[in-house]
Amino acid sequence: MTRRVVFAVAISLFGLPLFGSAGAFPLSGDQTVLPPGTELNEDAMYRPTEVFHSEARGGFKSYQVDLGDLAFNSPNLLGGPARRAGMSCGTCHVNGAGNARLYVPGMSTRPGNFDTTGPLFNPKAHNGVLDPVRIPSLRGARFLAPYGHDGRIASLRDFVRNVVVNEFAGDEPSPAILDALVAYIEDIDFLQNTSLDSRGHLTTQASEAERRGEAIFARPFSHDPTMSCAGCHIPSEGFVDHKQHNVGSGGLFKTPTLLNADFNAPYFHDGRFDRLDQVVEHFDRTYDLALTPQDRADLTAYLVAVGDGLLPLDREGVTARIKEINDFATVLEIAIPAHDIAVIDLAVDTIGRELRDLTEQFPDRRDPTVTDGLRERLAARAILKDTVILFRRIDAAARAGRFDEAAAQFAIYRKLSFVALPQVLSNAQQWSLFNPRVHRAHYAALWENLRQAGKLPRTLAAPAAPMAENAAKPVAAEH
Amino acid sequence: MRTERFMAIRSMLMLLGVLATLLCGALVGIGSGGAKADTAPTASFDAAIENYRSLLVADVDRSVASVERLRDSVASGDLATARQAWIEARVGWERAEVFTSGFAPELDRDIDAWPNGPTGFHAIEVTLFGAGQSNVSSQVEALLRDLREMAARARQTKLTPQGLLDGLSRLAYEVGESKLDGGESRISGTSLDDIRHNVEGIEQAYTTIFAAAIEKRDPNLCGTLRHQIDELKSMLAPSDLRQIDQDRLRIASEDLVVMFQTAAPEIALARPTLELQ
Repeated sequence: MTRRVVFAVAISLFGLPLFGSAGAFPLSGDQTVLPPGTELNEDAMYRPTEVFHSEARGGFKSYQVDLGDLAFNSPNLLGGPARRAGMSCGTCHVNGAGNARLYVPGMSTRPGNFDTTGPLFNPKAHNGVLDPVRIPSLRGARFLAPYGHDGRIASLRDFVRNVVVNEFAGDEPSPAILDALVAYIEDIDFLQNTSLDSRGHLTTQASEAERRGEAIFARPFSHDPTMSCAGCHIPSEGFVDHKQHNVGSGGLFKTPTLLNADFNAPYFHDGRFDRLDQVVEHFDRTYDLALTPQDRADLTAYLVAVGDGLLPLDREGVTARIKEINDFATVLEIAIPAHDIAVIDLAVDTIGRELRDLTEQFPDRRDPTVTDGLRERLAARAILKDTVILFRRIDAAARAGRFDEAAAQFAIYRKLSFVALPQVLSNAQQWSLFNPRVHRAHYAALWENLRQAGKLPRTLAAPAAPMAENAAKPVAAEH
Repeated sequence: MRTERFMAIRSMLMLLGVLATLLCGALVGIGSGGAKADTAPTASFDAAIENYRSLLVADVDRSVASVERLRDSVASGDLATARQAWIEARVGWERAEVFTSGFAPELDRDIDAWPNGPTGFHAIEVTLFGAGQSNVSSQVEALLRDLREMAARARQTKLTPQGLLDGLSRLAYEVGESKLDGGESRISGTSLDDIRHNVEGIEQAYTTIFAAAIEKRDPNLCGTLRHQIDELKSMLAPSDLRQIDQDRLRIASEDLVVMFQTAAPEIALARPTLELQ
């Protein structure tokens, strides 16, 4: 359950306003765990790029980070309906970023926000108020304490535990798993931003408008010279001050970072604003800043420069999927010799789910929306299914205490994963749902069915393509 | 005394079975240079396969009869009966999947095309259950033609034990596929029925064709397989897809595949493949 990105990007990319603003994974019928009309954005063709601090420095992710990534993407960490619906932390925080399209009727007031104290996921946490909060990106979270939109929890570890146990009714995670989750989250870096230097100032490549915006950002407010934008969003401190403020949005909320914000819409704790210029307008009005239209445009240009990031999106495909699965599988290199059944179970479960999901990207013979490449598609399906069973054998052997056999089976996987698996899948990729043309045909057929059945999700109040997503420069480059 | 004699005879039979299997293996080894399953002697399965064939034919015939009723109710514009007939037609069809997917894949594709297709069960489902209309006469005619052809194939096709074990394993794997999005028959809300009938089909094929031969070789293995199939059935007992623990179902489905693969060499067959290529 980890594939969800900004469908709007795919639409704007390929110029296909196919489904208006309601492009979504068809979760439908009357017997789904989540309410009809739920959108998890599972069929997205782009995912947020995940930059790991350890890798960016030329190293590699530790066992703990990979284990945390596994747990983060395992529905079994959660409980109740979330688990039964196959949701994991990664459903909302795709690759550790956000999910601007996620929408659960009754729990969201708009795509991208979600009521963590609503009635659906844990009745014990239900507070009787529809008070959804924006799904935050976790990039750079290690710099952003305290946690929660209202900053009520000082430690990331406590915050993660609260999400798992109280918001999503999961069992008490083991200390090792909590440590791993924290290690994973703390390894997620901000995307690089060449517009900023190490002190958070604009570099020489900045435009005139951005520079004027930077000056306005640092300028004391006319009615209260003790205040400025930069007073709370301190550029040298990751654009935060680690404090809560009331900025006229209905209470005390912590200062959010502005780094990579171009990709974090919607904005404010409840996701009320789609665009950064609306945010600027809010502050202009609330603090009586008397900004001219030019000032507002300059300030917005500055925010967009600060919020930028290199390569914000990753194209979905065989390579990315296999890398993710291999990263998950590396924990077995330690867990099998350590006879750590709990971790082996977790790994096999998550990898198996990912492999089955990947299999469905290669339509079988019954799918009339794609006709070519049948032999290649079936070969891809065959090797993936065999791999699923291979992991099942690893788990069965480990559970029976035959760890040598588990290790031998894992060695078979390692061999497969070097050449055969990537090759067979790559051979079939052009006829898979990773190909936009095939993807379109397949989902158009599904949507047509649902349209005829009157089971389309109700029209979402979402913008077709929020500014931040349109601003995703590298996407255009890829196109 | 009688028990002892029985045990002695049983031991002898088992020994003979082992020898026969070894011999078969050796012959296959010499003959084809590998454990190509369809070249293995099939004599021991012939009678069992014919028993299975009669059950299979009955299933497909029942599906044909329901589609005839579907045709009539569509012609008279009786939507409620048409829907009922569609649901009933799925029963025999899903039970027959051990055979249909592997022995008549092209016909299977036309009958069960998904997500769309000019004809087939799901094209009709969208109109009957989705749009709430019964103007599907031409699609029903095509479905009837295809299903009758399938019934003829069920009677005539040479059924190999390897092909049937492959079909069993593929279906066992399919049972574990995620139905979180509402499943294959989401518009009619009968995806759970589909899986349940798949498992009935698995049980029918396993019991009729393979159980005795496996029991002879390894009673424990046979017991495990029966137990696993029973477990799948009980997991699918709830009436609503939302009540199914899909994680447990997936694990049970994969465990069953592993066990079919374990059983294959015991009955001189090759490890079943999970995708017909």
